This record gives sequence, structure tokens and C-alpha cells, in this order.
Amino acid sequence: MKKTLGLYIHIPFCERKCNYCGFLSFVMKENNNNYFRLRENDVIVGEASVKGYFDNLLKEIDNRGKYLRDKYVVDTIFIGGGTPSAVDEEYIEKLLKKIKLHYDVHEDVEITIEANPNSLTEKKIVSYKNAGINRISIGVQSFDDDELRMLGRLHNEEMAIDKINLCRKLGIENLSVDLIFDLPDQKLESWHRTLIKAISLGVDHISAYSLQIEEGTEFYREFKMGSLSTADDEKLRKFYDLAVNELTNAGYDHYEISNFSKIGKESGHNIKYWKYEEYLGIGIGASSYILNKRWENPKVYSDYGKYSNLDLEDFDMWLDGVKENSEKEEMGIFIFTALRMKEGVNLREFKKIFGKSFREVYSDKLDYIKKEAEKGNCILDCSEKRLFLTENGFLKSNDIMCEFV
Amino acid sequence: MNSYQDKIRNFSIIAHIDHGKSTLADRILEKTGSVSQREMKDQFLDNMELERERGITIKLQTSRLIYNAKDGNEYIFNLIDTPGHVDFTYEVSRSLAACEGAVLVVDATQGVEAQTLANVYLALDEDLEILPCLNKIDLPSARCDEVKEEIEDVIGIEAMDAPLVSAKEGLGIEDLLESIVKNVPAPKGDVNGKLKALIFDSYYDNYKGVIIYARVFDGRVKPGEIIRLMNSKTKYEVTEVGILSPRPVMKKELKAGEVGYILASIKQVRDARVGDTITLDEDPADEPLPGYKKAQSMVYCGIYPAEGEKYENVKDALEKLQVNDAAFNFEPETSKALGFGFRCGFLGLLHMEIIVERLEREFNLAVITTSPSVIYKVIGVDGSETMVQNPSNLPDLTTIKHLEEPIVKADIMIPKEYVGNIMEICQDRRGKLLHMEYITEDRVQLHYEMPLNEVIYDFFDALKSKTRGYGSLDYEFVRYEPSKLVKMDILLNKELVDAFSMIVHESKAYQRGKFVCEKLKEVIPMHQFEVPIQASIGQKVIARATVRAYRKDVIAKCYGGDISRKKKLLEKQKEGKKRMRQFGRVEVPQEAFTAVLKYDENK
Repeated sequence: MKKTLGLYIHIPFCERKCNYCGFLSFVMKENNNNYFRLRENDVIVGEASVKGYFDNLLKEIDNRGKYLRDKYVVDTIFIGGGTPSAVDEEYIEKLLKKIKLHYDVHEDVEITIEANPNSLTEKKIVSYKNAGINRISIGVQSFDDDELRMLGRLHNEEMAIDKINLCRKLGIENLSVDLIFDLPDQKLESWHRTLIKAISLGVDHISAYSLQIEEGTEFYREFKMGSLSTADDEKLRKFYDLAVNELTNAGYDHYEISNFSKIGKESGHNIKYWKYEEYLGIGIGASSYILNKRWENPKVYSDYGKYSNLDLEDFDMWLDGVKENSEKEEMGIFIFTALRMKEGVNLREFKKIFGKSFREVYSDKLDYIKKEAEKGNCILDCSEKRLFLTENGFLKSNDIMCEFV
Repeated sequence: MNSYQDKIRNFSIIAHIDHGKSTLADRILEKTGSVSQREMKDQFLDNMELERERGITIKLQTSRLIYNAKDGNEYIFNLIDTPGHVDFTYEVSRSLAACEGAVLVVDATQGVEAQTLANVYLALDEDLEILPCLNKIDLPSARCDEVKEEIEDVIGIEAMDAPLVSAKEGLGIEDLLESIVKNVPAPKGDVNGKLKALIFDSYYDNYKGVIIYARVFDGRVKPGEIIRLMNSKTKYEVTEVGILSPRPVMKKELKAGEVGYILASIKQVRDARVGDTITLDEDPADEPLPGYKKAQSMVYCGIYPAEGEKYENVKDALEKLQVNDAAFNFEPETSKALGFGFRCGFLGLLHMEIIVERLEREFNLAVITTSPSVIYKVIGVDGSETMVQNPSNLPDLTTIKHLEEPIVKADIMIPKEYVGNIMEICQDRRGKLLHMEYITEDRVQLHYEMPLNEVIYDFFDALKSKTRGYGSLDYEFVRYEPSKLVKMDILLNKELVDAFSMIVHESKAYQRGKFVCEKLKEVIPMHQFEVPIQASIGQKVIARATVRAYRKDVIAKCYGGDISRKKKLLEKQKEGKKRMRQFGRVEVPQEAFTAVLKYDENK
């Protein structure tokens, strides 16, 4: 039987770089008028570059398809970015057509696209739907206009609400929104309002995560110099607790550290990351875990062009050059990714994959686990053979996870 | 009898940076047909890329030109180029000593500047005939009459008949050439006398070894003869002589009054030091020509291979640069923070910047440069005298009676509206005003005595910035003076980083410490733990700043399966957890080492 595979496609273009975003993305030239405040490190690209990028993307899909179609069946596709909705919908159509042509795609495949409220249009939604996309993840971030402006977003509350309703009207049955909390100087009340708004709009899935200050971003600079402040750990807890309470009360399952969903509406693609399943990243800088190898596609545009054109044999050779993690490193990855899920680390699965028991590998960590369990941060369930974080422990997750890397 | 000398004119062009010296040299070369327009790169004489970019001439180039004058005679012009910066005063003076005249280029829109003056004084010291000429007359802002008056007032030379040229547009060049024929005296050497030739430049060629540029004053020199360098007391056999037109052309001999090159299998530029006198070993001159000085480094800094760069590569490159630069020297040293590297000596800050840039550009090396330092004289309690180039080598305080620092005389020329600003800057840098003079109605020259230590950090940048680029500076060493100096250390996360140590005046320590801490706070990235930055003198902390830490708790989104990134983040946090208890090594980006030196307008 063939194994299952998730495909991630990276679309590195945006209309504007957000103040908090440390991701690999380029600003599209047509939007580069005075209205948009360009940043020091912005890379501006024109339409020709966008087209050139998609040419490479299609070649990469084609080349990797030849390599993988006999071994895998694709059951999730995630088109992320950047801002996939910022580019012409024809690009997305072509992309999916190509995937269906070169891969064995499961008939119940989950296909997600990320979109921003300002660039998502009726025409695009219809086109996405016809191309087989059945899940849209909208970058709402907040329903407060001042906060949106501060984040450097190009939409407002009204636009976000309109686009969510539009998706519903056009028959998108699985709708997700991204929300950020603990924004600089954010009030708890404002976060509350954003949560209530998302719930009342009836979205199926909510990603809620705290603002991270990433190196190279506008926020990083301001934060470091002290002109921007985020909450301390104590205040962060209040934001987090509020989200957990409101969303679970409204019937959302807190199935992953930063994700909440209605029953059966979990993100199938993202779960693969946490369950040690295989995925292939396509596009500049995209990450893959497949055939026991982990790698990242080149981040420099010209290098990526060469990489995408590697054919069957050359790719084989290229794969040979990818350094494999040690077993201990892979164990660490297995554990910290699984700890992101409510169900936690499946210790039976651990033994099945690595051939050693969790207890014997991490005998030196058992005391630590016990201490954290006493603090109410985690539970080691011996009968169920599971180690998982509590709601409380999710908040301390990095601190606990890093013990295992 | 010496009729060939009547048709020779040896001259230099002197000018302030930007006043168009190189462009003028180009035009002269073009007019005399020495370089055809087709093969002419702009500014032929500045042949290093770096020089062209910065618009300044670092190494000298020289050319022999043929000019058919209006009197029907053919003249030989030896145009001797001079470097245009304060760091190279000695080299300029030797080039001038090789001439009988100097064309003084003054920008008709700017007038006389400090450096122009400094060079004029050098030329006057050598008894040169000075021919003023006004450049950039094509510009609408040219004010020829005023500038002429300024030249007469300030320098005291006749300027009413000064040729008006536009080197850029090629205007007035012929007038200038005629004026050279008429006004620059012909050389008057004794061709049958004992050989006396002045080395005014030398550079290293991969195939030929050291190429000496020399002016013969008396006698003659030809291949096969044994020459003696009178100051360095070394002997070599001449293998070739010739002239530069500007390409080298071999000749049978060079004789009194002529300018040309000499090859003698010399391995290093430092063996043929500028200013030395060449004579014949068999029949030597009694006295060398006056004016010789040994190369003296005024500014020192550490140069270290950056992360991933090989020590050997840096060493090779420094050796290659040294071969071609008598004023540059280096020796190995080690730093706790940076590992193995070199302590390098320079004539001044610009010289240092040029060397570092050449390492980066020509040799493609990644290097870290530490704070520049001057040489301090340490007087021990036992009366001993030691010279210290590296602040971290300062001996234990209990063994020191006192410290002395080099003082320079700085001549600063500025438009009068900036006098207040500049006096404030000088005061702030411990300058002592000697006197102040009005050069013209609105140009002022300030004469200061200042510690060199204050000049090297950012004084020039500050001067330029506060005068919108109109200020100019010239300085020279005067003496060592006792001073209340202290060694200031920088600690990152409580650990001393020796590469940041500097010697500062007691009165400036607090201010400087605060500035460095703030700068480092800007450039050091956030860690998983707070990074305290402290400036201290001995055990006493005098300034501090803190780089904030990343927050420990986050509800993170993990994008696109980027597990490796998440893994790295967790690894850092894990290390951070350990570091909370132990001391840690803080990541210091390379730019930190230069950032602490830059002039900050807002400070």
C-alpha cells in the first residue's frame, strides 16, 4: 500500500510586508506606490518575477512528481505564503492542475489556501472552488481597526467580516481564521471582542497565537529599542486563558497548542507535522520531511531556480547530499512536535518507530517530567501510554519541549 | 651646456580633495597626446579602483608628457602626482621636493581650504614656484574674482593672471600649459656631478620587484651600476631605468633634471623608502638630500579573521599589502574574544580604512577591525618607558607612574558661521585653541592642539557633518604629554571582551562608556536571556545598558512544517536555560566592532 503525503506549496509574494512577519516573502511591485510604506529590507519584485517563479514551481512539481507518484498518495495540499491570494487566481488553477496530473491525489484530499481579506475576491473564491480547494484560511489577525493598522495589515474589520461571509455564501465549507493576541499595548477587552466576533461568524477553525518578535522585522527593531512593549508572562497567561475559555465554551476543541476547531474540522495538513508524518515542501525556502530526510529548499531565488529544475537522477544525487539527523535528534523532534497536540506523545508509537522505549531513552528526564506533572503542566498516563501537556503546560510548552531537543 | 634641461618642467598639482586635481591631470594627459581619448579611463592617474570610487588619490603616479609650446619648442613635462589626504603629508612633501613648480588648483566655487593651505606651505618649504589656477569655472556658482583675491590674501601669491580652467569641460587647459612653460623654472642640476636622486615613490610589481620613482638632481644613473641608498645604507645593482609616458619606456640612462623609474631587484617597498637619496656606491655624494623621515605609524588597530575566515589568508594578504606600502606594518597578536589576529599600524585613520577596504575588496576577506588606538607612552614607577599600542596590553596600574599621549597640531578651516559649533566639538575633544584667524571675511582657520586619541575616533566625521561638508582638517604630531588616562573595558554578560577595551581620558570615560553601551545595545541581537552590557574602569562600572531577552513563554504558530527552525529555537532556549546559571558567550555581530566608532549625530 502506498504511504500518504502532504504537499506544501509556498507562494512568497505579498502586497506588503507586515510589521511582525519574518517570513520569506517578496513585495510585489504593482502595489509599490506611495500608499505602501516600504521597509528597509523589503525585496520588490515585478510581474515578470512572479511569472518566472511560477514557471519554476510548475517544473518542481513536475520533477518531484516523477520521483514520488508511485510511492505516495497525496491526501493534503496546503498553499501557503506569503499571501497566495495576492497573485492572480490563474496561477493557483495551473498549479493544482499540474499536481493532479503528476501525483496520485486522493479523492477526499483536503486542499487549503491562505488568503488575506483585502485580496480575496468573489472571482478568486469561485476559481479556487472550481480548482478543488475546499478549505480557506484567512489572515484576519484582529477585528480591531487600530490593531490591524499597527500590525501593518491592509484590511479593516468590515472587510474581514465581508470576506468571511462571502466565502460562506459561495459554499466554502471549511473556513479558518488566524488571530494574534498579546499585541503591543493590547487590552484584554479588545482580544475578547475579537474572539467573540470570530465565534459569532461561525468559522470552523481558529488559529490563535501570541505575537512573536522575529529578528529582521519592524517589530523586532522597535521592541529591542524599547519603543514597543508586549505583555509579561503573567499578562500573556490572561490572554491565553481567555482564548481557551471562550473558544472551548463555544464548542471548539483545543486540539493543538495554537489551534481550535469544530468537530471534524481540524487541519489535516498541519496535523501531519505534529504526528511525524511525511510532507513535501514545494517552492522557495519550503521544508520537507520525506524518505527519512529533512531539508529546506534554497532560499536564494537563483539557487531555487536551479533546484526546481533538478530532474529524477539529479534529485536523487541531491538527496544523497542531505544530512540526516541523528536518531536522538529525530526522537526529540518526534516528542516536541507531538507535545503540541492535545493527545500528546504516543509512547507505543515511539517504541514502534525507534525500537526503544521512551523510559529507557529519557531515563534522565523522568524526574523532570515528574516535577512538571506536580506543577500541573503535564501528565504521564501510564495506562494509555501517553505523555501530554495540560492547558497550563501549553503555556510553558517551549520550556518543556526544549528538554528533549 | 645643459640645454636639454631648459626644456624640462617638473611640477606637481596640488589641490584639496574634490577640487578636481585628477580630472585636470586627465585633461593635461589628453592635451599632450600622452593618452589617447579612446584608451582613457576617467582619471587616468588614479589607477586603483578604490581611489576612483572615493575620489582621492592614494598612491602616486607620475607621467612624462611632451608639449609643443607656442614658442615653437618641444618641452618635456614631468607631472608628479601627489596623494591628497592628511595621512600622507610626508609623501606629499617628497613628491613636491622632486619638482621645481606646483600648479595650485583651487575650486572657483569653494575657495581656499585648510588642506590646500597645508599643501601650499609644503610647496613653499621646498621653494617651489606656485602657479594658481581656478577650476570648475563652468559652474554657475563660480566666483573667480573673489577666489583670486582670496588666494592673494591668504597665500600671498600673485593670482590675477591665474589661468581659468574647467577640467571637466576641457576649457583653458592650453593657457595653463603655457603658463607652466613660462613660470616653472627649468631644473639646474650638474649632470657631471656625483649622483643624487630622490625617491619620491615606489611600488611593488609582481614581475619586476620594487619600482622606484626618482628625480635625478645631479649626475646620471644607468643599468649595471651599483647604487647606494644613503639613509637605509643598502646597496643594489641597477637592472633597468626608464621613463613613464605614462606607460614605462626603457632608457639607457637617467640624468640630472630628469624623472623616471629605476629597477634594482629590490624585494620590498620598505627597502626603498620614499625620501631616501640614491647615489653611486663607487663615487658617492657627500650628503643625502634633506627631508628624509622614517615611516611612523600613528594609529594602531587589531585586524582579525572573521568567523569562517582563515588566519593564513589574512596573513598572506597583509604581507602582500605591506610589500607595497612602506607606511603599513603588522605583527601577530591574540585576543581572548577574537582569537588569533594582527596588530596593524597606520599613518592615520584614512590609511587604516583604505587597508581594511582593500582586504575586503581586493582579497575578498572577511575581517574584524577593533577600535583604533594611538600609541601611549607608559612611564613606570621605576622610571622605565614603554610604548603601548594595544589597550589590553596596558601593564598593571600599580606599576605605572603616569601615562603620556600623543598631541597633534590641528588646523581646521571652516566658513565662519560654523565657528561656534566647531569650537564646541574641539572643546569637547580636549582641544586647546592656539589661535584663530580670519582668512577672508567669511573663512576662518582655527589652530588647535589636541590629543590624537580624540582626533582618530570620529572627529573628521563630526567636522564634516557639523559644517555640511565645508570644513577641512590637517594635523601633525607635535609631542607626547602626560595625561589622566584610564583603560575602559566592556563586559558582555559580565565577561570582558578585550577587543572593545580602549584608553580614554578620565573626563571622557563616562560619556564614552555610555555611548559604547548604547551602540552595542543596538547591534547585539536579542538572546534567550538578558544581556547586560557594562563599561567599567577597573572594578567600577561606569555605564550600562541591557539587551532585552526574548519572552520565555509563547503560544507559537509553526509555519509550513518548518520543524528545523522550531528545533533551533528550542535548542537556543535550552542553552538559555543553562546560561541562566552559568556565564554565557554572547553572540556579537561583526558590525559591533565598527559601530562603536561611528560618529552619531544625535548623541
